[in-house]
Amino acid sequence: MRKKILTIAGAFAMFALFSISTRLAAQEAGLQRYTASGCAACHGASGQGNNLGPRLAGSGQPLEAFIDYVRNPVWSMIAYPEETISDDDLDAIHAWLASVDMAPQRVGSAERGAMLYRRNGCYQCHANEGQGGAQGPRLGPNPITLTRFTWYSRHPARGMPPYAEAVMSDQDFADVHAFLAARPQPPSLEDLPQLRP
Amino acid sequence: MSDPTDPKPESLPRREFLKTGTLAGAAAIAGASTTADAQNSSAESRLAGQTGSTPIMTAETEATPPADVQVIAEDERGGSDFMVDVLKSLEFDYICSNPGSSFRGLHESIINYGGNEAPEFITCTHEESSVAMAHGYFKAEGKPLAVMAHGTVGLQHAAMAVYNAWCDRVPVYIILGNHSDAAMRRAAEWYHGVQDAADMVRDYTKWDDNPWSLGHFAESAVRAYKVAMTPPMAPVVLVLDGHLQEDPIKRDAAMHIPRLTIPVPPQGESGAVEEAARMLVDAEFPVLVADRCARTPRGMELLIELAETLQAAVLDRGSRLNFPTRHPLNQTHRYSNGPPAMNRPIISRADVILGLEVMDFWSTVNSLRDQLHRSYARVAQPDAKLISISTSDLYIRSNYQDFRRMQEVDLAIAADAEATLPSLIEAVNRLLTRGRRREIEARGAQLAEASRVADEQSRVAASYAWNASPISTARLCAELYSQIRDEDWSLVSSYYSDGGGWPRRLWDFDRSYQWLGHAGGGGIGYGAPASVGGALANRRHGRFSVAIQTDGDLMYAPGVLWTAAHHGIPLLSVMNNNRAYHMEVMHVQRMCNARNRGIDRGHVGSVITDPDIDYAKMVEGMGVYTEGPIDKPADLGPALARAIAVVKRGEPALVDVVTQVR
Repeated sequence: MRKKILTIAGAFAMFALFSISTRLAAQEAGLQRYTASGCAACHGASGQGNNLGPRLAGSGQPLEAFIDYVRNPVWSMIAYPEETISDDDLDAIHAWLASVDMAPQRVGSAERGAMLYRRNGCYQCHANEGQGGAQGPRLGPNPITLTRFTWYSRHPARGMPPYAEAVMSDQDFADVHAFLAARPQPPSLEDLPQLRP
Repeated sequence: MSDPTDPKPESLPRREFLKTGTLAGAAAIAGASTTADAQNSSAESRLAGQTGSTPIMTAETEATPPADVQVIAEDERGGSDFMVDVLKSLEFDYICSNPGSSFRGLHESIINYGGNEAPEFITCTHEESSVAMAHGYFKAEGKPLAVMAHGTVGLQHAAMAVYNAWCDRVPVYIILGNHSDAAMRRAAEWYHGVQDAADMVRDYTKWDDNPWSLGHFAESAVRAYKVAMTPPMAPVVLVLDGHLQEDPIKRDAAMHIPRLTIPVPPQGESGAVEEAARMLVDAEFPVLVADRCARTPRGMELLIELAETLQAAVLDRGSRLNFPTRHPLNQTHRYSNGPPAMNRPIISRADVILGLEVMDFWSTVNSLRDQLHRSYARVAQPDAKLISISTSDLYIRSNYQDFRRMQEVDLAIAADAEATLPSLIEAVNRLLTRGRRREIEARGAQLAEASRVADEQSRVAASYAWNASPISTARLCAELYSQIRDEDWSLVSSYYSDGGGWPRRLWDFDRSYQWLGHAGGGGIGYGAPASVGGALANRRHGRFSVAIQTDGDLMYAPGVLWTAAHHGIPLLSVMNNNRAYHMEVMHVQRMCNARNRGIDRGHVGSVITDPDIDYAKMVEGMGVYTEGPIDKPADLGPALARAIAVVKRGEPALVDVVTQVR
């Protein structure tokens, strides 16, 4: 009996491991499709949204509604027909978007991050305070998740130079991420007469 | 019958004059030198035994009878006087120059015979400044400036600025001095003599000539102006022989100056224009991309009319101010907080794209990824129809590659875009039915809302790092605009000093002189002199000229700010002093990344620190009012206010602001 129980438990464990690895593989495929399809241009590298498109990560939107919207968007979003991206691919993207923010985070040092941000030239494109500028987008405060920040920096989609492990470690990224998260929020526009329309 | 403008009859006396010039000069001062005899004798004894010393005046030389002293006869005038007549007929306001002996005849005629008015001689401290001033002046005024330089050393200094003007299709009227007759050259004129002076810039000028008579000069001078001002516009060169300038001519010699008639720019062929109109009217999402389209203020008015008729999105690539920055159909800055990315969201949605004098159509509809292995991808939809209206199809040169990558288009109209717009608008109006007009109204409303949101987002983006030190470029631009917005202002700075794109995101540009584009050829050192040139043009209109001046650019030829002080040219230069050639830091950093060598040394060779340059102190020594260096945001507003008061008095001022990178 005990042996039977162990066998069943093992089977469950194997199934669970298989399910996890399958889900992770699907999520990874989803991330790849998300990036390759150019979704990040309007919805951010982590699906966090930006000025062009809304947040997608963790939206809780049902898969069917998600696919329907991608096929028949309103206003400025480009329609993605079946020939461009399959339902399976959208399924993978949907799974990945649902998984964002689930990864455990390293703890970074904002003080060390400030030094690394400068030493590694991040400020060249993203300005001294990570506020962005003509050459690169704003990074902080409220940066994207550390996982996505690290992943994108290692595999940038456009003109950004890639930061390999030999140049910046995962801990380095955690520190820079902490620096960016610690940047002060801007004053309200109402308090800045210099920026009146 | 001999040609009265033929210089040959006058050449012999001039040669005699040159032979005897030294003696004549000595004789001229002999009467005043008797008391110097003892000193000369003493000096002569001290120099006894030395060889190769400078000859000194002696009693013997003073005793030499006066030689064949020559001054011009009452019934004569210098050939260069006639040249001034020609230049006046072309209505040049100014002639920018660093003085040089190869054009001393023309120089003297300008300041004496011509009364130093129209053209007025503007003293420059570098020939590159002369040409870049003319570059900036044209874009503010729509008229070319004349520039004088040595045919050799002067032109070599000027060459970079000539290339910038060429790439920007801006006319600059360049006059070079040269002594062609080798038998009559002074020693220095051998270094300054050249067989074919214009050769070194022929690849990036539109036309040049080396006139052999004054009649020839008159024709070539008028022809040069006409060629330079006919789109596609570009610099031209005239090489003036020294003798032609200096030899006398009879005052009553019959001299003819041809009448100047600027050709009407070519308009697009009517059938092709009709087809373009049909494609635009039928499009679901047409996009108008303008680059050098508005070569006059009328160009902007026409583009507004076309865009509003079609309710089409407009992207202004910025070589000129083609479209008001806050017009609801302007979608140029509809991008997320970051680089324009070639306006991907707009371009990728378009089904018809009309390029109006777009210098780089390929990168408008494609994207090149600058990684270790470069790659590119089309941004536009695969079946999007492309239409080009450009004078670049009318004229192209081989050696320098400023023509950019070839872009396949569906309809190429070789014509001047501004000249073609009226007929295109007319055709569009003819084809637009009432029903179609109703359909496209909704498109315009959506674009207007997107534009409003983008403006709001730009202001929010500018508020980040508001209190940081060094000062953010966004705050610099916001502080500056808040103090000049009620003036009749003109931003005369270049692409390299536009504060990271912030002015066109935050300021309300709606007049063509408010934005003067960029260098054209990417040659650093354009910004400061072009700003002074632009300010020179603005002065007569009472406009307030402001430049956002980068430090690396200013260090090429800072002496142009002395020119501004000397000639009373009001200009506020606000330093974007980021203490490095940051674009190059970024490039080296890219290499460091690609090669996995670490980035901590990527700045070596590209920073301008240790010591930090004190620009306020440097420019103060040239007679310019200065403030700074300022690195605390709270100090910036009051410093700008003080400097603005100085500029309003008619003087230049510089505020040195220590800023972040871009």
